[in-house]
Amino acid sequence: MDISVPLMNSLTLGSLYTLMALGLTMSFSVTKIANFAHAELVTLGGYVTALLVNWMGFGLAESLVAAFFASALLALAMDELVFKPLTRRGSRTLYLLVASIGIGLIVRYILYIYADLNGIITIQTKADIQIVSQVGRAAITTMHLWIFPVTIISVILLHVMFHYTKVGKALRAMADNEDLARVSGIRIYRLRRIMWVIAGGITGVAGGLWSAYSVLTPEAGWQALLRIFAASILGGLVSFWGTIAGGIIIGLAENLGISIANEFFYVNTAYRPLVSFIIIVVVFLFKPTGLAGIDVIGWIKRKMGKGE
Amino acid sequence: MDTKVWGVLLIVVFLLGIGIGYMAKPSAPAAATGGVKTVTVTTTITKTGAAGTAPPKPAEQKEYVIGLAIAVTGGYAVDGPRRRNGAILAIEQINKMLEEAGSPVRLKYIHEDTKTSAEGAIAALEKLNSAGVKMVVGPLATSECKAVLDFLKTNKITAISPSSTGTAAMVKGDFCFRAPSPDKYQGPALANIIWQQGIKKLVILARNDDYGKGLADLVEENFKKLGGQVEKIIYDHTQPDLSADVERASNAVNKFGADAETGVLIIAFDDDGIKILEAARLDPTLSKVRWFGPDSMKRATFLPPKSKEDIALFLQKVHFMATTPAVGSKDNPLVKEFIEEYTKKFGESPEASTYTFYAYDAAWIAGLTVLVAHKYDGVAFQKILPVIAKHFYGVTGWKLLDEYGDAAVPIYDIVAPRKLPDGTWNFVPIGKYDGTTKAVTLFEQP
Amino acid sequence: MADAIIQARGITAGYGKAIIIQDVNIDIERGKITAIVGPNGSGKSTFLKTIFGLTRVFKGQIIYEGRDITKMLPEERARIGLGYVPQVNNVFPNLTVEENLEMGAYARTDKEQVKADLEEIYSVFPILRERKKQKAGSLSGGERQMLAMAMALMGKPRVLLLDEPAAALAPKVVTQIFTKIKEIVASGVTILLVEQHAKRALNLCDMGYVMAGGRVVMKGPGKELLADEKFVEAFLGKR
Repeated sequence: MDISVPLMNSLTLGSLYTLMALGLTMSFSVTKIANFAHAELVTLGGYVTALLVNWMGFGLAESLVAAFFASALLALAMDELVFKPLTRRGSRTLYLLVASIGIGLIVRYILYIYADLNGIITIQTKADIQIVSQVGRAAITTMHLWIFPVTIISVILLHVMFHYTKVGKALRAMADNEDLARVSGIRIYRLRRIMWVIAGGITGVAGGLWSAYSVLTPEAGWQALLRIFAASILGGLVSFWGTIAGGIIIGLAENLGISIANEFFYVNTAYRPLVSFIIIVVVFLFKPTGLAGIDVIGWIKRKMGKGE
Repeated sequence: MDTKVWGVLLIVVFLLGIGIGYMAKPSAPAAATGGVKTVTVTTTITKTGAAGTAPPKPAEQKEYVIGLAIAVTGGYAVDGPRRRNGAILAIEQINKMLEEAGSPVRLKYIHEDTKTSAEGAIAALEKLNSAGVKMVVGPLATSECKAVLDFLKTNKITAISPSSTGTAAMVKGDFCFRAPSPDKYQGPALANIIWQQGIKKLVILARNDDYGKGLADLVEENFKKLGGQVEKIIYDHTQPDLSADVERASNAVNKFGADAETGVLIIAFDDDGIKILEAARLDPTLSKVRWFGPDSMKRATFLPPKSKEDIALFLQKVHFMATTPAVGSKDNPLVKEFIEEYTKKFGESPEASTYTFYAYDAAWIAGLTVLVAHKYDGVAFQKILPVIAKHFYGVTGWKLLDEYGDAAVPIYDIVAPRKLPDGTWNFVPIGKYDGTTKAVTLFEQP
Repeated sequence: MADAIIQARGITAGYGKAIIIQDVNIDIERGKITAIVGPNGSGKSTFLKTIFGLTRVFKGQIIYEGRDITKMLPEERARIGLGYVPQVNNVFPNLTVEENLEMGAYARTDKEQVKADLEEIYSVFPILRERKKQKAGSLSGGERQMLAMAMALMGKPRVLLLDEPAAALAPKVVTQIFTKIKEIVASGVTILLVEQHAKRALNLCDMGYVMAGGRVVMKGPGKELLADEKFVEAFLGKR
């Protein structure tokens, strides 16, 4: 069995899911909102990219920047108009979650109406995707040259930001204990806005890449949401490295895993979503902290320490 | 809070959210309500275009309602509105004819969105039924038709689907007629066409619904009968990504040998179709063999400006050809008139979707049936409709129905994507398949 | 009247719709230790949080340096010289010790001075220097309490609110902490201390308030209160 193609697919999808999940991980850890409207940040970014490229003739890079700002703005609006007022009124996280489903529905159907009126319910960003190289039977395309670097750079930037800048550390502090953060003089509402802009923006870029890699409908984000949550939950909902690992694992499970299962056990590829679902359930049952709870570096250090 | 509790909650809400999302799709506003209405018109009816005015005496005007159970959201979000428009045009033309004849009878339509789902179709039919509707144009998909078969029978509602062709809704004596030739004819047609192209080994990629699976089975059965080998891959079309399924197809082609004797048949709708083609065009193996498709692959979605030119170029590279229930030639004055009037009214040519033609014919047949019956009774409609159809020649040709109530004259156009001299892409007819003789005639090579 | 840096005037406050403390009047004298003692649930901690703006104030005013800060956001209060060490959850467990201390100095802009203060803190709490790359969540109770206080000090507060700094700590650590508190006052910082262990607190403080059932029931210099028979009978008698 040649695994080059499913492996490549796994990495591509894993990267895209990671990129989509980073924003969710970020907003969840800071605000504790399981934001279902996160799906719409993906979709909006996708549409902005597709329209700018297809209708206005912009390049993919400029369009992705625009997608960043569009989704950032939407994320900011969600928070300012719904989440923040609700939080201030002391809403429980469950209410916030339900509210996020509501926002998601509203945004999704506004997109639906817009897409319907313009005949773009199914749209594909006309990025020029060509094969640049080949590994085994798998093709490496120009799209991969976008997806992999963007994902890796995003994770590195986020890591640097969260561990080496004052704002990032304050965000982590806020995620740990909001009251204590305030007591330390951290202006939490300003930080919250910064957080939503970055989380929304990255998600928008992910949506833009998705619209070029695959195809976009107003439901695209919603359809991917299960994987996004699975990746984020695998990462323990708080860690970026965990999210990367989560995204790649989801990608592998849904492609390589199912290919192997199909090859040897004749499992229908249609069972793919089940994989994500099982992962969510299993993680919650046995390891609620996700991969973040597994101290890999500590483990390696201990092993190395012993070896020396 | 305890993370485990959260997890369970999250899963529950996930399911709930999916449910809500499903039900909350926007439905197009219903055009009107009420079944049969007797309206006393006291005002003067002015005749358009005529010099004189109609006699000012009050007329007892009778209105018959035709329900349009046509999806405009979900999988048919793009094509559904076109088909609905086709049906609306037919009803308006009938009314114009009646008005000009001075007849006191008028038709009126009520539209309900079936949302491209079995549940949506039942809900739409329930709404129409409670409004007293006994004649319906729709639903579109085979899965929807199948879902409402019992409902139609119990409530004595006659329906004529403009586009269901799947075997799942092929039932004798039911209340659901179908204007296009069903897959019972398309399956063998595809098998024969593909076989006659020299393909001996076929990989079928089909979406996981009644249409996809039904047609895939039919092609498989007929292709094997001809002596060919078949590898069938049914994919879940609701998935965001289908690269694993494309990979399976690629493997299967590899196993058969990527040569002139191997072909791929793709049975997809809009977005799943694009996902597959986008992945397939980048797969070196799949680009080496010939590709085929049924009617659902002859959609504007697969060509620029809706999708990338690369996809169209790929289709051309793999000498893609698709079958589509034959629409009368454009030289036919009936077809010409329809295209003109439709374009004038809706600002888009009906040629964007073949089934717009069928919706138009279906609505004409439905309208004529109601008028001939002269009583608003679903049982009468069910008896009369096949006779009307037998004597009906519309833009999609002769509508003789078989014992299952489905169009019985299986003639298919064979189309291929072409870049026209003006730079636009379109599917153009390159041949014909006559189901009665199993003869494939190609006027040009794919 | 003595020089009060913070005055709480007729404060009625609580959470949501629940009222926890009623009509509380407390003056916090500049450069002194003020202690609030009282049994569990008497509203001491709530009062402390109210000064920092972490509760809902229904009635009354909080005056800081002659300025009404009743409606000010907590983060802004931190920036005008208030510091607060909560009883529990008083460090960021997922941040390293050093990052915690940085967060303590978050609002400060004098970078060089912050660095110098950090060094000073490390020399005062050597254990924190040892653990500076460790996550605060991995510290022991005493270490955590020291970190919390160090964090608050990094903000260079003029008034420090301490909520039961010695609760659940070993006696030796308690002594250390109380010594530290004395040092802090000596450096010119005003302290408001909430303690359940009344004797300990009153011995230390200049002015004491006794709260019960959400109200101030007694007040007076700490030593006087300890000498007051009525007080001893009501709050210490059973010992």
